[in-house]
Amino acid sequence: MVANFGFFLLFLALNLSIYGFFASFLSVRLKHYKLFLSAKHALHAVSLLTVGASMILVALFVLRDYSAFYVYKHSSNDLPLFYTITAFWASLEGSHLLWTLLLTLCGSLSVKVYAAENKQLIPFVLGIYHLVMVWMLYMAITHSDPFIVNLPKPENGTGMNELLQNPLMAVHPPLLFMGYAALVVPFAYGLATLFYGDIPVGFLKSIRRWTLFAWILLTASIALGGVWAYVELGWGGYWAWDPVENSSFLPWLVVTALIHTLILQEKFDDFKKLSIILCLIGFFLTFFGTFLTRSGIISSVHSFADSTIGPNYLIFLSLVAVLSLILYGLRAYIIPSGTNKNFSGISKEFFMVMGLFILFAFFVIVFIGTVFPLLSEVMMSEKISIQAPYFNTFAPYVGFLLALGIAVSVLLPYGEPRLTNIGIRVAIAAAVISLLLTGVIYFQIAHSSVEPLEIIGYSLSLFVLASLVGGLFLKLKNIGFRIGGLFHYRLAYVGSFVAHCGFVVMVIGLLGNYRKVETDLVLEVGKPVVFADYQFQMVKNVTPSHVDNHILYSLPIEVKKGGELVSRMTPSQSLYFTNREQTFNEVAVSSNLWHDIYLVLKSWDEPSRSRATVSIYINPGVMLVWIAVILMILGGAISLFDVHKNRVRWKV
Amino acid sequence: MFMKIKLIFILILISFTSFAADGLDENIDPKLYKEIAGQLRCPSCQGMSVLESDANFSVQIKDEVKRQLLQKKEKNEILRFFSERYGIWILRQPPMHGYHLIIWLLPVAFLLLGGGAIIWFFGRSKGGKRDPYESSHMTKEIVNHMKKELNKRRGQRSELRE
Repeated sequence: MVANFGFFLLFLALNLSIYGFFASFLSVRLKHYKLFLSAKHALHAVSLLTVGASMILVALFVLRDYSAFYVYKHSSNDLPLFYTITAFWASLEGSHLLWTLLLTLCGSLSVKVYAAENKQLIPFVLGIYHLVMVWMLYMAITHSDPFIVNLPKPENGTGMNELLQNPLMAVHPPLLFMGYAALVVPFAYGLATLFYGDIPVGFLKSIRRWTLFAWILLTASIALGGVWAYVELGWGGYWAWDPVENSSFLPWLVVTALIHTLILQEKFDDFKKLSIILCLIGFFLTFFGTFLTRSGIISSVHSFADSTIGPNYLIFLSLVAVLSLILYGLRAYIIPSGTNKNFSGISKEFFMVMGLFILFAFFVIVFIGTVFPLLSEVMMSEKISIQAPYFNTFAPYVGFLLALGIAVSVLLPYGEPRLTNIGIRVAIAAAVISLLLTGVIYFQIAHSSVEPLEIIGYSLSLFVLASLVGGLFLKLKNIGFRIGGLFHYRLAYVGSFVAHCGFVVMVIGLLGNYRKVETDLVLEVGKPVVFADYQFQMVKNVTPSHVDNHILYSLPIEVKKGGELVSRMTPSQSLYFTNREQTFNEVAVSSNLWHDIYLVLKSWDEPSRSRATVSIYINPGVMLVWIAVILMILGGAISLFDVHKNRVRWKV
Repeated sequence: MFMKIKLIFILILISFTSFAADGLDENIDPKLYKEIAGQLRCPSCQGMSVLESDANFSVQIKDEVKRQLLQKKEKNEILRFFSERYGIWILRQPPMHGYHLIIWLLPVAFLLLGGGAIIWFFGRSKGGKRDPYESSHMTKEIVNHMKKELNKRRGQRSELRE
């Protein structure tokens, strides 16, 4: 019953958005300020209504009201309260509502508080928000309705997907959708400049903040997805290049490129059209990714045709793409290009543009790899697979080219058409230092066979690190070594320094994959087994214990190295009461900075429980990857707080 | 989807008989084995190779790879065997012929053409040799003078407060 109210609120919101869309564009045409205000208030009202609908869905979950089909499908009486609430986004309908909610909140916030310089853009921005909301809400009350009623009311639900009962999966979707949602702001501003025909001064600052914000969230959520895959799926890795991962990675690549074009736009008052097109692509990709992963088109083109969501998404996607492209084609020439044509030759700008291009090329490669199997099935009726080996063929080279671009460009100043003397000197010093260090590393681990790509990777990442430090030195020299000044006036630079250090650490961490080893071992109580210098000892039998809604079979293992205890680990398996046919891995990970010991309990002898098979992975560099992500997020956050880049006249 | 996977599992269980596969035979080169198994997809998972998976079907495929390696078959022969048996879908990347070449050529072409275009764009204007003061009111003399003055001030910076 209560579910019907939720549906009603969404329906009301849809009507308001339709009104708001026409009102905002008409208000420009008629130059009618009050009409504009009413459209703006309509957006706030849509926000409130969506918040209301979401709260109703949360309440339905908490009250375990199985008369709502979505609640029935994704929770059960024995589900802990925390997961009962996060079951909100356990499936398509709920996550669609969550996304709708976050979109409208971002929209509301960005028209509530905006830079006064942008006020001519705001009516268009408002209209575009309303248009997006019309589609989201239309889907929310038709093909993706979380409030479908299920009567008579069942006594118990069918239970939440066991893989999602993990704290990481509770946080990952909201973060990802928040990042997706924040990208609507650059998109709306980008389109609005095309409607309006000029880029106002405040454009850059507003877009910069929202883009950075989205980038931080996307980075965090992609990483959380990786951590989740690592600890929950139990195959010893965190990134498999599967279409779901790719579809979140694609917007990340474009947004990363966008952040850098915005810097170029700020420095040179140019590259405006490039920024606009990246704004448009970034937002498009968020929907494209959802279309790929949620319409079922990836598993089979035929299941796509059966769902109603797929074709609807396809229509919306083509609409967004065609309309944006037409608008871009018709209006982009009006956007004035910069007066300052001071970029040429071998300069910082050149290397930055090259780096951007490499990022974009990586986007193209991942895009081709993700979409080509679909095209092949549709056009050639041949099912093919494109998986990790394809992406891994290109990824190292892309990474190396990026590293080169970063290394050179951080040393050079903007707007100087040739390598300055000091820049060259520092670059040479950096290259020498990195080569020496590489030599040391090489001879340290020369006992084992080393892949050439791995060594190239190490020297390049050290080169970048040395260049970063060199660049910092040059910056400090310019301001007379007053470190306080750096934090006062160049916070964005500090942020970029930290984020690029994150890139270096990331490359070093990823190179660890070349040294990964794994095996399956049979353990018995009292019989230690040795693998990769570690000694694994089963402490006692596999013991079952009752936890909340599942039975946990855990196997305590002591790991020793040279007689000394390294760690006590308990790889386990859970058997959920709602799903008796399948057990789920609870892997045990013991990390230090250089490598992880990763244990998966595979099977055990049932009556005795004293013999068990365990998969053992030694994964180098995983910790470094997580540290790298933290550095990147930290760098983004530091840049976000650069008040000098954000200084605008506020209009509330 | 999960129902489908389950169904596949059951079908496989019925149609094949598995034989024990604990560890690798001494006559098999582990590197070659990993290379081959890493190129075959796990049919019931997303994005994984049979090497990384312990699904029943994957174990079957791994056993078959081991058996053929014991028969001293070449890598290409084994891969061809599987693609003839299950379709090229079983390979984790399509073979390099026919229209599949697009996925290799397109990125390379994009990189070369795009990179070339950028170099052309930056080299188009007078390149590295041009006068950096050309578009401004500055002359080299004024700039040098300003730099000198700035350096003088820097010498006194300890007395200056921010």
